[in-house]
Amino acid sequence: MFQFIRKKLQFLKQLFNQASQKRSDTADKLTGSLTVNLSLLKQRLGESPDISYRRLAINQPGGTKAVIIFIEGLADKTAIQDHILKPLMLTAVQRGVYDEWTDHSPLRFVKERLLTSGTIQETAKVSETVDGILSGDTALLLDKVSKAILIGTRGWDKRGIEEPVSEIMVKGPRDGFIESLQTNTALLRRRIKHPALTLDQLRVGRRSHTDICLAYLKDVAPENLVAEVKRRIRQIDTDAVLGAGIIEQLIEDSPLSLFGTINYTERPDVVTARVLEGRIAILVDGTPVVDTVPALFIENFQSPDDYNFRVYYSTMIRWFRYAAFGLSVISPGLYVALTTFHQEIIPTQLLITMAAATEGTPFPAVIEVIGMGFVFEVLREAGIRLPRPIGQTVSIVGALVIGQAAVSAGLVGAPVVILTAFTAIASFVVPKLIEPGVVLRISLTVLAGFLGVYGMIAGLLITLIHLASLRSFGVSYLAPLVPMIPADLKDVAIRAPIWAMWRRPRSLHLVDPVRQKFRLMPEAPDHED
Amino acid sequence: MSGNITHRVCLITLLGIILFFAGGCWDKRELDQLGIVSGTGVDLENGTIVLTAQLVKPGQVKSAGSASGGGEGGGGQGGGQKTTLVFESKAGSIFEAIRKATMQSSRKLYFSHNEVLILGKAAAEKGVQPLLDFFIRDPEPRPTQWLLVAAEKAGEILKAQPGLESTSASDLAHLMANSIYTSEVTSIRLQDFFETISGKSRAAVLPIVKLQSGPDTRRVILDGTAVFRGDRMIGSLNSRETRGLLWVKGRVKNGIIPLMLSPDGEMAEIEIVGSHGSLQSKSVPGGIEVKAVVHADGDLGDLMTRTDLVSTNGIKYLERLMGSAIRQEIRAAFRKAVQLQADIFGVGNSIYQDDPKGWSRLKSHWNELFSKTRLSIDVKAKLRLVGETTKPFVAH
Repeated sequence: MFQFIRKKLQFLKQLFNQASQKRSDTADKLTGSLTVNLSLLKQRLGESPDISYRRLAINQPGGTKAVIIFIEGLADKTAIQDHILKPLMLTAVQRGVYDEWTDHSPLRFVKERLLTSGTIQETAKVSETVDGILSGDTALLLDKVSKAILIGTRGWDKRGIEEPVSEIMVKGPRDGFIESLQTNTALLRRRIKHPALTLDQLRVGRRSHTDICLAYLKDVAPENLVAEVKRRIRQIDTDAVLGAGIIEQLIEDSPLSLFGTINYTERPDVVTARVLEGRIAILVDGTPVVDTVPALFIENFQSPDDYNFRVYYSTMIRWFRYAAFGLSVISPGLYVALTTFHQEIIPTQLLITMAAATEGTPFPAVIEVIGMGFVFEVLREAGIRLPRPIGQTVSIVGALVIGQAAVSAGLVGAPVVILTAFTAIASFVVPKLIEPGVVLRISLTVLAGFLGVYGMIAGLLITLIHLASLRSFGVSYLAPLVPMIPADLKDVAIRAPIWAMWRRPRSLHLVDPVRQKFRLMPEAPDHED
Repeated sequence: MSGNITHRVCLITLLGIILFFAGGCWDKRELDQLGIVSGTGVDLENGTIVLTAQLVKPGQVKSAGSASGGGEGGGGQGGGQKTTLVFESKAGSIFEAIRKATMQSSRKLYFSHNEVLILGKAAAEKGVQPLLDFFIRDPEPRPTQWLLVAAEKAGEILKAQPGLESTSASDLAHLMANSIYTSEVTSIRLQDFFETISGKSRAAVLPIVKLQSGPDTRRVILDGTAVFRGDRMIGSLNSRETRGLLWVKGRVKNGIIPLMLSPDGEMAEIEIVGSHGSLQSKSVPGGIEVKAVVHADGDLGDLMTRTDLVSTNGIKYLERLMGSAIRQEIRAAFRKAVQLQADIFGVGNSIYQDDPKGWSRLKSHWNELFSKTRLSIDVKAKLRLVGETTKPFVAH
């Protein structure tokens, strides 16, 4: 049966390929006639109200006719006025350079003597012209010239640079990526002023033509990794790529895994740090979320603030995070397993207290735990996307009505409410693992309800085996734990002092593994001068 | 690729099925289906076993603990909101008696949290092996539960009002743990009792518990030690003799030694802060020679005299007195052991450990041999601290 489905899929694939082939075969050349060129473009672009076709005559004796085409809102109007219209319609006269017009080709004259814009590109293809216009550039068509000039006038409304709401830092920069790719790459450049920082632009999406930018250090990131990322992005053949999350799903190693093997952030400082470690950042136009690969499981537990705080505190808090995640995953299951199968290992006093609390509650422990877990997830989901004032109402109703009332009505025991609340809070300690955490937690609870601790151990082992089998762009997902790379534990078991982390992570197989001078530990002079 | 996935799905499903049925014990029980037994008593009445089980009522424990007087209108005073429920069932065997208890109890008895196992005196004198086998064989009861002998009926002990703890069984368990503060009573866990009694000496001791009338109600109290030879109780030790035994076993960790300084009531009291005890025995023609070596450390706790004894000579004097007091305790205990022909000191064990082959020759007539044992005692008593004051404030 599976073979049948496979054949069907292959057939569909061929069909798609043929369709896209046909589209690119049509004539794509600009002609020497302005009228024909204009109609060619109009045919492609249509007569939408936001597309401006501005006719003009260049200020020279012949009065050469020209058209500029741009999209309002995408193109910067002042730039068009100052760098295109003014030079073409006025400046030519003032300079008194009529004679040169006839000597040179008109195209070159316009480009070299008239247009004052910084970015200029020549093209003879209709499709490229259309692409440029749709990206916010202005196309200039001249009469009797079979080429178009694309003038960089991209400039649209964008929001200011703010600290991302989803990733707050105590002791760090307050800027964040925005939806504009150019701004985002500039944020990176501002932090790494080194020529080795390479930005490779790719375009993805049949209809969205989304710009995607890879950022990496040429002399640090392994070449084959860069090639692999590019290959995977190029093979995306879909209508539109609307966000980083979608790119992730289209290029990740294990699309069916519970765990995401691509890391993401909205913070330029985090991306900078990862790029400096030899990773590759994937910036997508239209989203403030930047993906980084390869991703390690352990990165989920590393907060950028860890590196700003003192070593001891950072190390401790990191262990707390490990513990909190572990507890948030196993504690509901463990509660169910202990109270329904292994009562003998609960301390006597605790058992009596727990028995007293669940006295008279109608449901088995597993139903209670899963039910309360469900209620919590629903509350969370309701709270996330609601307008803030309503969101608060939800949390009050949730906490008071459901938590308090359920206990006093005797529907659930107080321990279950405490457990659910603790689990919820603990899961928020590692925000990036909330998604797999929830799924794991509930499956382990179900397993515990049927099979007790035995089932939980089995579930945890399966998860562990799965985790160990994951790869992220050629790097073991559990590295540096599996395989064990002792040198990299300096940022896992502890958070070593900055001056001690002189090598980049070995797990990433980098070209240049050395980050800084070997002995960087600051030393005060022995004697005061 | 898709073939691979099919493979995997099949494999995982198969593993899941195996996982489901390979689970060992299908003993899924909710907390409110458990009759948590806190204490068990075994009595013998005209050849029938009477099993008394003290069950915790978790709801009552909680309301008694959290809001006394508040809660349910405080109406529990007269009605006697008991935190425990006591069931009695009679049968020919322990297991049968336990199963019979489910005919009275709405919840099946759950023995994993049984803290104390009390044997009635009559049962203890008849022989405990058949009564205890269930508690060590069944997976539910813990081998670490405390084992005691009741001065009379075990059932009565479990019916007593609880003291500070929620159940009288829990009271008893705490008393057992507290026995180190006096070292005048012993405490032993079920498993240790089995190990001791099955050793070469074939003798063991258990604490005796009885009921004592208090100001308001009858409460449990530990008093003395039962001596077992084989699996039968054959006598008892008083508190002094008990400590004598514990000195040699090295189990005295804490306690008070009163020292009589003069006939008119002048006393010094030494707080024991630690001790080591050991036993060396060897078989000589015509009997056994046993040497008990005890090192005891104490602090001066109380000096009920006007004589200033905190001086080099005074302390030496006190240490001498302390040594002889310890010696007397040991001697008293040993005399009792010989009189009962019960080798509770473990002389037989120590001979066996030194000379296993020699032991096989002694084994057959060990009880007579043991009664001819000659004991020598070597006590090294040491006074370490004299407390926060030196001279008596009115000195001679």
